[in-house]
Order: sequence, then structure tokens, then C-alpha cells
Amino acid sequence: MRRCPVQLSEIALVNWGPFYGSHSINLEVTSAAPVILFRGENGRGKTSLLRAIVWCLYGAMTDQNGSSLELDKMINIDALQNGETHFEVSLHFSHKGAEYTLHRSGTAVEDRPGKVSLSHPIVDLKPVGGQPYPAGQIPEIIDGILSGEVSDFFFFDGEMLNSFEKRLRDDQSTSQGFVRQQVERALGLPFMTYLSNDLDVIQGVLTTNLEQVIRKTQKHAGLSEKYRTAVDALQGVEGDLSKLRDQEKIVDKEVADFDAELAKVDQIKDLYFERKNKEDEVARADTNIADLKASLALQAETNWWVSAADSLKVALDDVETQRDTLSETDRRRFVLEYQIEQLNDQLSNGVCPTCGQSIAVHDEQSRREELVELASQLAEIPTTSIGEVTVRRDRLRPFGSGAAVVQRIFDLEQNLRREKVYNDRRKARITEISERISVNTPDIETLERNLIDRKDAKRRLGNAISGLEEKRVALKTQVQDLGSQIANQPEVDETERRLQKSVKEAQGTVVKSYDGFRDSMRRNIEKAASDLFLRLTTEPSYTGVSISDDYMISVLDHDGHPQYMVSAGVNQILTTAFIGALGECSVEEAPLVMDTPMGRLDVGHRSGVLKWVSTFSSQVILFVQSGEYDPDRDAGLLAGKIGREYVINRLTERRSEVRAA
Amino acid sequence: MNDTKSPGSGDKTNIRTSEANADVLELLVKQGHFQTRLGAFQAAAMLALRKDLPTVDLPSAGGLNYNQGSFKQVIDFLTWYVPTGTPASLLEQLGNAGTSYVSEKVRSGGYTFTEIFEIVPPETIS
Repeated sequence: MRRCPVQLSEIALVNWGPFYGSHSINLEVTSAAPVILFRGENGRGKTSLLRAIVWCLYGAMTDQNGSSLELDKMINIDALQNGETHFEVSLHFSHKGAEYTLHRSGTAVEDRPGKVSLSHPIVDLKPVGGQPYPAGQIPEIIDGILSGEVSDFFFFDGEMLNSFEKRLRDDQSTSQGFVRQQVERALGLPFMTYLSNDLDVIQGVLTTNLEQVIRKTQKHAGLSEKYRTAVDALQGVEGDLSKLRDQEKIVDKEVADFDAELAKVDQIKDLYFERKNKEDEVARADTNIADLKASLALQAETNWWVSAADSLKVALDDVETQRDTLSETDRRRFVLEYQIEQLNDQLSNGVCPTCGQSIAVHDEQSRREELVELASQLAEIPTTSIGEVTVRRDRLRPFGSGAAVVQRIFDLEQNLRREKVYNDRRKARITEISERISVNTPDIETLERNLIDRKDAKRRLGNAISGLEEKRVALKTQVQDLGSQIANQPEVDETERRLQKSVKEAQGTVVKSYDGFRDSMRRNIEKAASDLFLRLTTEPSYTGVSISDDYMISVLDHDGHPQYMVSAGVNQILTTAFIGALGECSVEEAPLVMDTPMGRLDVGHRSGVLKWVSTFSSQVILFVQSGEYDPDRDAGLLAGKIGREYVINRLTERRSEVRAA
Repeated sequence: MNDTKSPGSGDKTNIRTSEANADVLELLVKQGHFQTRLGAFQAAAMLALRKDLPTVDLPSAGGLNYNQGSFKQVIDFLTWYVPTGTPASLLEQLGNAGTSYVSEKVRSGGYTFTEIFEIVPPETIS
């Protein structure tokens, strides 16, 4: 990783954001451990610190929607209420070996609650050991150190990621234009545009002068006339182009305004969509509830006996017991009958069937008494038929499944109860949302319709501009050719002719370079984004990122085919990779300052970002909250690259402090 | 005319409900506990049988009137289970007694099928 020429060494704040009074934070790090961690929960002042850096450098800052943020919003409220009117931010930094102190300060007075008057802030920039620069030159000097034009590639927050992500997800022509614009910003191409325009003006002046020379001779009236006609046509087209570009700016502003308006109502939008989702869920749950009720009714109807299931089970158990008893009784009867039959045989034959001796030997009298006893026992055995009991048992057996049927019914009722509870919660949430969005709800649908309408207008203007651009190029070529013909006339001074030719060649060089640089930058950014995306993604089937010739950005699947429809999670990673690549490839170099960059990423992707950060040798300042960084779990991912670690603590509702962790 | 006896058996050919019970049976269907009033009446009869509920007097007119053939399964069951020679009459008494018994819960609403018919949890059956 490169070592950036700009390094922040200290930031000092007075009455800024939640930082009441004076605070000074050391930001010095080494290339071995270039990461500075600021840990703090939401509302502690992480974004205020990022804004302090941006405001100190550029004298302006943006809010979470990308709109300009008023300075009075950043003045500490306690200070205002205590009448402490002074506020300031100072940055100490080095650039290419030289050290500087940039200081911006002002005074603020709270006229009445919520109404703050600010003095014109003062700015001064002083090289260490040198004289302060004139105030008027400071913006240009700072721009030379790190252009405000590309500063958001280095100083960005989670909201900017969201905004980029939204733009990349936008419809094709808008996202293509956006990607191309970012590539040109990273390359610093606006400068080349100015150069090309300046050369056009110089050549126009030169050729017009030459044309006046040949017109005087009256020899080349036709050529002169052609040239003037072409110049007039070119000026006409440029006039039209200028008008269209003005219109485009207006439409751009309208699009930005609608975007900002929609961003402001994002929360309401979220609620609007949450309600819609909840309504869909309720509809599905209602169907489910109806199905469960129908199943219950079917069970109740089919199993008409279920309300007596327990009695039937008892009856079945009783009849089973009864049948067991009767079986025993039957067995006993059989034994008694057999014994009686044996005794009767002995007594009638007079011979013992066991030993073969005369029965008299065994006491005939006692045998007869035994016979009477057995007959008596047989008479006492109930005569109930086991057959009847068996029939009853068989009739009751189908009800033996009562427990299972009742279990099914209880289960269905439990599911129904649960489904109803969840659905009641959904309905309560719908009511709550409806109450919240019924108060002063902006017409989101109209806003979105207007936004689409403006985007269509922008597209139409883009097409018209593109058509005129082509016409302009053709006319320009014609004017240049005619200019060359004029320059080649003998009446023209040789020096003037050479000058005109040189300017023409310079123009050609700039145009060719412009396209070449942009294409080369596109490829560099594509490569850097691809490397970073692969480093961050947890999905092995993606093989990289592509930025096509017409600036369509996409992820590549395992076969290297572009995938334009990807999940929100993949789009977040793509966005992070794209911004990281823009910063890496930018002509500028600066520390990377990221505020809550991983808030919406899952654990795998957070690890990827931290591992990426651990590869830096240049200064990185990370503002993180506990949801995205856990020191115990994640410090290892930064591989010992943490040079400084701070915790932002809340002292009161309006005051925070930064302490070394 | 609804109290006609089954020829030869001495049992009823039609089974009636009171008007009040007809409303309760209707509510049981509307609340989604049963597909038909007949099904609800059978369940109420089985509840009365289980709880040995006292029989209730039926007014001479009004309510629902079913042919006993509609209750063939239950009538067959009562015939051997009780046992009885007049299962249709018994079913009429049981059904009306059971329906009256559950009427309060049904009219107030908000009870489940197992709560209305006081069905014991499955673990106590097996």
C-alpha cells in the first residue's frame, strides 16, 4: 500500500458538536501501526469529529443526506446556553514533509432557543516556523494538498456509502453517468476540459484574425464565407449546447432536490413499506388462520366423540381389564371342570388313574368331599360371556386413538393461538405506523413520480446534448479544416500560420489524451475495485468487478459474466470496493477517514473490511460503534496495526469526551 | 309432530333442539368450531354423556329438527355403549343438555373448542 503524502497529527476542538470546552486529540501514527480507532456508541460524537476535519479543511460540510450542513448545527449547545460564544477547530498536518497548522474559528450567539447567529468564521493556515498564508490563498492551497472535489473518496461516512450504493443501483443510464463522473473526478479530468476549452478559444481568435487578413485581399471570398458560416453554425450549436447544459443543471438540481426530499422522508418511506409488508403478512396469516380453523372444524366434525374421549378411554381400559379377568375366570372354570371330570372318572371306575391301585386305597370319602368342593367353586364362577365383552372391547377400540386426536386438536389450537397473537401484533404495528405517517405525510408517490419524470427529462436532455455534441465535433472539425485552409493562404504571415497549426495540434493531443486517460483510469479503477471486492466478499462464486467501456459497473460470476442484479448485501460490498478503488487510484493521496463504514455489513464482510484496513501503511482513522467492532473479537483482524485507540464517552446528554482506550 | 316415535322400535324418528340451543349451534358454526350445526350437536351430546348432565325439558316447538338417520353413527354408538333401546330419544336429550351447558361460553365468545367442550389434555387421556 502507498504511503500518502498527507498525514494528520492532531485535531483540537473548542465547543464543537458534543465536545464542550477544549479538546485535543493526538493523531500521530507510524506506517507500522497507522490505524486510529475511535470507538463510541451512536450519538457520542463520531460524525462530529469527521465533520470537524472536513469543515476545518474546506469551510463547509454536508449532512447525512449529502445536503449542505449549516455551521450553527455543530456548535455545542451547553456552550451556547452558557454564553460561551467561541468555537474552533484546528488541524495539525504534514504534507510532503512540511508541517502546517490550519485553524478555523468563529463566534456564535443564541438569540433565542434554536436561533443562532454566527460571526464570519476566521481561517488561517501557517506552515510550522513560517508566516501565515494570506487568507484569500488558503482555499487554493488546501485544494492543492487535497482537492475538495475528491475529498469524499477519503473522508466518508456510512450515509455516503448508502448514497453511492443507491446511485449504483439506479437505472442504467443514471448509474453509468454516475460511474463515469466518479472516474473523471478521480482522474482530475475537469482540469483537462478547461484546457481544451481554452485552446478552442485561442484557436478561434487566431483563425478569426487570419480570416480577416485574407478577407482584405478579396481573393478568397468563398473560403471566407464558408468559414464564417461554419463558425456561425458552431456558435449556434454551442449556444444551444450551453442552453441545454443550463437546463441539465436545473434538472440535476431538481433531481438532487427530489432525492434529498425522498432521503428526508426515508424513515417515513421505510414505515410506509414496513406497513405494506405487514399488511401482506397479515393477509397471509389470515389465510393461515382460516386454514387452521377449517382443520380444527374438520377434526371436531369427523371425531364427533372427541368431547368424551377421556370417558371412552376409561371405558376401553375397563373393558380390557374386564376381559382379562374373564379370561382368567374361563381358565379357572376349565381347570375345575377338568378336575371334576377326573374325580368323577375315578369314582365311577374305582381305580386311581395315576397309580392304578384301587380307589379305596386313597380314601374314597375324601374324594367325594373334594368333588363337592370343586363343584361348589365352579358354581361360584360368574357366567358372563367373554364373547360379549370382546365385542364391546372391539367396538370401543376405535376410540382408543382419542389421545392422539386430542393432541392434534391441542396442537392446532396452539398454532392458531400463536398465529393470532403474531397477527394481532402485526395489526397493532400497522395501526401505530398509520398513526405516525398520517401526521403530515409527504406524498411519497408523487415525489417518486416527479423524480422519475425529472430523470426522464435528464435522459432526454442527455440525448439532445449528445446529438449536439456530435454536431459540434463535426462543425469544429469543419471550422478547423477551413481555418487550416485559411492559414495556408499565401497572404497569411508564416509565424501566424505556425501558431495556428500548433494550437490545432495541441487541441488534438488534449482530446486524444482525455479519452486515453479516462479509459486507462477506468481500467485501473476496475482492477482496484475488483481486487478489493474479492478481498471483502464472503461469496466465493464471484470472480471480480467489471466497469465496461460504457461505464456499466457489475460483479462477475464464476464464469466471468457480469451480474447486474445482485443482492443488497453484494451491492454494499461493491460500493465499498468502488469507493476504496476511487480513493486508491485518485490522483490525490490522503488519509482514509471512515465513519461507521461497517454498520450495515454482516460479520464476514466486517472482517473483510478490517483485514483490508490492516493492509494500509498510510494513516486510517476509523470511527466505529460496538455493533460493528468488538475489541475482543476484532482487534486481531487489524493485525497489530492499531496505532492509537480512543473511546468517546458520553458525559451528559450534550457533552462527550475522547479518552485513550 | 316432531316427537313421532320410530315404528316398531318405540324410539323417535326426528331429533329436535330448542330454539335457544339452535342459536348456540349456529354460533358454534359461525365461530368456526364446526362445519355444521349437526356436528356441533353431536359433540354437545357426547359432552353431556361424559359429564352425565341432567336432561332438560324441550319446548313443544321451535329450534332445529333432524331426521334420526342423520345421526346414524352416534345412534348406533349409544345403542351399544349406554346401552339403550331408544338411542334417538337419548341423543335428543343429551344433545340439548350439552348445548345448554356450553351456551354461556359460546355466547360470550373468545373460547377455544377444547375450552368450550372441556376436553382434557392429551397427557391425561393416555
